[in-house]
Amino acid sequence: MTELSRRSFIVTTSAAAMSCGLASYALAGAGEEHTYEFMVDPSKCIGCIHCVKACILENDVPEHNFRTWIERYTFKKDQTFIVESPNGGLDGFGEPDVDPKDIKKAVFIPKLCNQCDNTPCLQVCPVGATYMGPEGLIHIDSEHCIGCGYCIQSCPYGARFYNHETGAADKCDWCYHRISKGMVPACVEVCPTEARRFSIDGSDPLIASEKNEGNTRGLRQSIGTEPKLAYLGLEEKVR
Amino acid sequence: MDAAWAILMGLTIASSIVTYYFFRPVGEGGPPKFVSLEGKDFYDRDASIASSHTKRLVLIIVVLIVLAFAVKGFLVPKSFGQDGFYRADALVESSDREPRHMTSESCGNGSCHKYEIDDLALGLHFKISCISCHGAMGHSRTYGDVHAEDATTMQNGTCLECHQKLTGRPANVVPQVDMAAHQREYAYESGEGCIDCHSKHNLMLIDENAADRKEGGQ
Ligand code: HEC
Ligand code: HEC
Ligand code: HEC
Repeated sequence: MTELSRRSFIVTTSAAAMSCGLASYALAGAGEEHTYEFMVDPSKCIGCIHCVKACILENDVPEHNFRTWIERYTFKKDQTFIVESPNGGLDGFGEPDVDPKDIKKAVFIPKLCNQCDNTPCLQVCPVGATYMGPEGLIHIDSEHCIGCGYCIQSCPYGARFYNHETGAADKCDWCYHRISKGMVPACVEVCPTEARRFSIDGSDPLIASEKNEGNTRGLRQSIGTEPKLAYLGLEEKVR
Repeated sequence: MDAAWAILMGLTIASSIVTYYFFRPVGEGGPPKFVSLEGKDFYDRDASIASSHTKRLVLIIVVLIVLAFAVKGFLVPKSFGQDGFYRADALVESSDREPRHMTSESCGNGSCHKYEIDDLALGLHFKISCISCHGAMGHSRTYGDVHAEDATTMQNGTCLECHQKLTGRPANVVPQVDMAAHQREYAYESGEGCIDCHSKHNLMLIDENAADRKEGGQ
């Protein structure tokens, strides 16, 4: 008799659990979905910082915080390199603190959210305020965010910051309010040299072809975050 | 979603309780009979007490469950969990924000700035978006709602953001000048702006003597 009671308990419970799972699957809504691709070509970046300024204006980014910023990598002849980003680039780069004769190469690297497929920031959020939307982009629900800062610490690219004006974590979402209306992100719009390229449902075929030819790579690919943001012909040492 | 959860959980718990009630081990007698305590059958009395204890326990559990769901319903925001472990409305909210930086085409809409668009297309700046030089007009937090006024207060600094000679700036992408050397080369006074010689949108040289000046003429 005891046997029976336990079995029937297990049966009823698992049946209930299964129907719950099915119900939630059926209730999930399917919206209009697009594929977005972003490619950065550092060899074309002239470090004019117009993207950083446009981003700040477009997204109300508080002072000294950045959703996108520019870094300058100065590679020296002795295999070392220095990275600078004075106030995200807003303060002007000036000349690097290196003897010009020692410089092998210098390159500007635009940085922004890499929109990783296997992202740590999503895993650490305790309340579901940072989430992957149906199109695979990572968003922040600033209303629901409790500002604990776990995601800020977990981002290996330092793309997140604590927004003191909203009291929530904040980061680049590839200007979701623009791309969902068919516009390109603000930084892409103002870029004078096409160092930043954006494609909605393949509107820029160059991105896909460069990706297919294997000319692009993501930042820090070895850590397995699978970033969606593609960098064209990136130097080995750039992280 | 929550209602479905509540019903399913309720059914689960109810069925487990019923199962337990009928099949629990009660010695030889099988399921207990319900007898009043005034009854003379003292052997059934223990069973009756046990049954009333079970009822109390069940009541407490049910109350706790109802309470838990009430608290959950109060704390979990609307539309949470609809599409995943997040607030589905948040996605709508973040796509609802108004864009501030417009395209060059929108500047020419209603042929407001058609002249400037055509003018720009003549020079090497043709790929550059209007807002890259002019900023998001009327949305600038520093300038407020200025529109036309904003467009005519551009300084050399704007040009030099892109054209100043700089380590790391690729020369094959943008022609660069060293401000001081440029000034020396074309022998102009520091008061003179870039657009006094380079026409602002089509980049044609306005100052016809400018090229001569290089030869030390004028
Ligand atoms: C490379 C930078 C640059 C770009 C790109 C640019 N402008 Fe200008 N624009 C200028 C400068 C410089 C001035 C002159 C500012 C001044 O007089 O102080 C100017 C002036 C203007 C004026 C003021 C009218 C006038 O004749 O003085 C208008 C209107 C204007 N631009 C519209 C546009 C439009 C529309 C576009 C896009 C098609 C555009 N601009 C793109 C640099 C630019
Ligand atoms: C947003 C960056 C940007 C700004 C601001 C900008 N330019 Fe340019 N400019 C460029 C780029 C990029 C090119 C080269 C385009 C090409 O080669 O395809 C260019 C080309 C030129 C050229 C052509 C040089 C040649 O070889 O014929 C001149 C002249 C010039 N710019 C002057 C100016 C002046 C004057 C201003 C200020 C009103 C200005 N630029 C502002 C990006 C900029
Ligand atoms: C006195 C007039 C004058 C002024 C002022 C002036 N330039 Fe020039 N600039 C010239 C002339 C002349 C050339 C050569 C054009 C040619 O060869 O077609 C030139 C060439 C250039 C070039 C192309 C250089 C190259 O290597 O192809 C750029 C870029 C440029 N100027 C930017 C600027 C900027 C930015 C300013 C403002 C800081 C400025 N100029 C101010 C006269 C002037």
